[in-house]
Amino acid sequence: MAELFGLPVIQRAFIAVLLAGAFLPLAGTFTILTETSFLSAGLAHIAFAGVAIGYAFKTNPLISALAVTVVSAYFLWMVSERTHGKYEQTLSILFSFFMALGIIFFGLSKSYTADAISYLFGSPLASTGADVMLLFGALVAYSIFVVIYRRELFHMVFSSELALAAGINVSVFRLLFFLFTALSVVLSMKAVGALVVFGLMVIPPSVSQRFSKHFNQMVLGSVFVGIFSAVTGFIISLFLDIPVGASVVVVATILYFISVTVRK
Amino acid sequence: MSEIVFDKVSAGYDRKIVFENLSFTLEKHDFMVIFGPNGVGKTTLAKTILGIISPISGSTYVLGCTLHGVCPHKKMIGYVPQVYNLDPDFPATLFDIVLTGCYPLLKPTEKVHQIYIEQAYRNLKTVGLIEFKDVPFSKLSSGQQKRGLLARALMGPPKILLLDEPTAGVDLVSEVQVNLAIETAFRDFNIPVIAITHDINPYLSIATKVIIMGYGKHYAGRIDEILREEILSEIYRTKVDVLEKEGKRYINIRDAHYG
Repeated sequence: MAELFGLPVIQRAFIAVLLAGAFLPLAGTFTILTETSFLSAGLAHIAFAGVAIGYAFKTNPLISALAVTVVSAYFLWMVSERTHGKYEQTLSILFSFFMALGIIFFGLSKSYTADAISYLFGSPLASTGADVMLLFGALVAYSIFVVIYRRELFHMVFSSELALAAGINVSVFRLLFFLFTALSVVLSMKAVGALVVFGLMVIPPSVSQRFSKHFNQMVLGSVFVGIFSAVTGFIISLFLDIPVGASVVVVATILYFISVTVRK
Repeated sequence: MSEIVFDKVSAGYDRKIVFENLSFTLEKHDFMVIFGPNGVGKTTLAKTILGIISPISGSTYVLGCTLHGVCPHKKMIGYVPQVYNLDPDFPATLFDIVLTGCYPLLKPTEKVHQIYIEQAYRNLKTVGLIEFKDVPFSKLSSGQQKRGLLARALMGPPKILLLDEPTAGVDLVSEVQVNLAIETAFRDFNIPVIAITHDINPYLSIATKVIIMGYGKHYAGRIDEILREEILSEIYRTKVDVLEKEGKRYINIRDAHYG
């Protein structure tokens, strides 16, 4: 095991999974508290289509995924603003449409089936130094945003009406929340896979919520559970030679079931 | 100078007018009650005062600000909303929620001053909830939550207290406790209060002004000028009595069919 961790490719993969394990639960905490978890699931599937489009047009799949997902997140925010938060129907349609596009584009470029699977189930070993740096940069940016605006975010998740009445620009904060969610999904997809991104966004905050009395506790607890699941899942995946993303989510789910049996 | 001046104000959503040509003033020592049937625009009026929605026409003046454009007055109004949907596992104690009342007064990197922490304790004592300060907010009864939100609204302290249906959805005992806390806050904090309600009776002993809102009609002014049977009967479209018992006034809405 120690020898394996001496390999740069394993080190990069480990760091990528660890960063995804911190980033996704951090973003997920706000989706849980605002009951918008479906947003992360929808954006993960939209991002997958973005990868397919990238392969079909022979461009960098990460850039195409970022473009498609960020534009979709912005569009969903606009719909949300005009319909007083009722954007789920639009998200469902985009979800289906982009999944269909993803299947079509991957079908058209048959030689890329392995790549499609790596983005669906995660392939941290394929993470490049640039992927890891991007993920790290986005995580740092989001963490700074959360630390600086923790009070505004807390106000908003408690009651957007009270936040509005207190003079907080709820609309701008909601846009940033949508965009950061999109960013966390796309940048973590290669490390853990589009199919389990949603799990890492939802399960660690759900575990943390059961033990948290305060908002700050829940945010930090989510990140801690996410990192623990990522590290444990990564090591198990090395031992058993199973996909990392799935292994991480199984660990997180076991933690969740333990948490429901333990009284808060 | 008046704390609030509304002159022929019309407001609504998406250019659809909910109320129009409403004029009133709120002075420093006023306790104003806004009441009327469902759907006449009481909450829309609250949101207009708060600056959440802009008036369609007319001029507004709240704590030295017009409501158009950037205005810091929002931070000076203590607001208790009508409804709020809360996750039963929401991670916050009553004390956490009360403290949010001072957040708009702080810069992003500024720590919560000791003065606000002491103020939160005092406000919890005022509303009679100090022993519940560490209880998760979501585990409190709806009446306790309303009193907690009142303690939150009193942080600052504010220059105006605005309460939207402060006793909606609470039981009778809690209603008495919430109203007592509102009276105490009005007396102790010496700030004008606006209470939006379906039932004016609990506030008749302290109210100085009233806005009675009806469908397409409204009356605003001093309570002794406005609270008359003919006005109330017109607004509610049924017979309404203004009665007096042991020196206290109360209104009684009779059913049109059985009155």
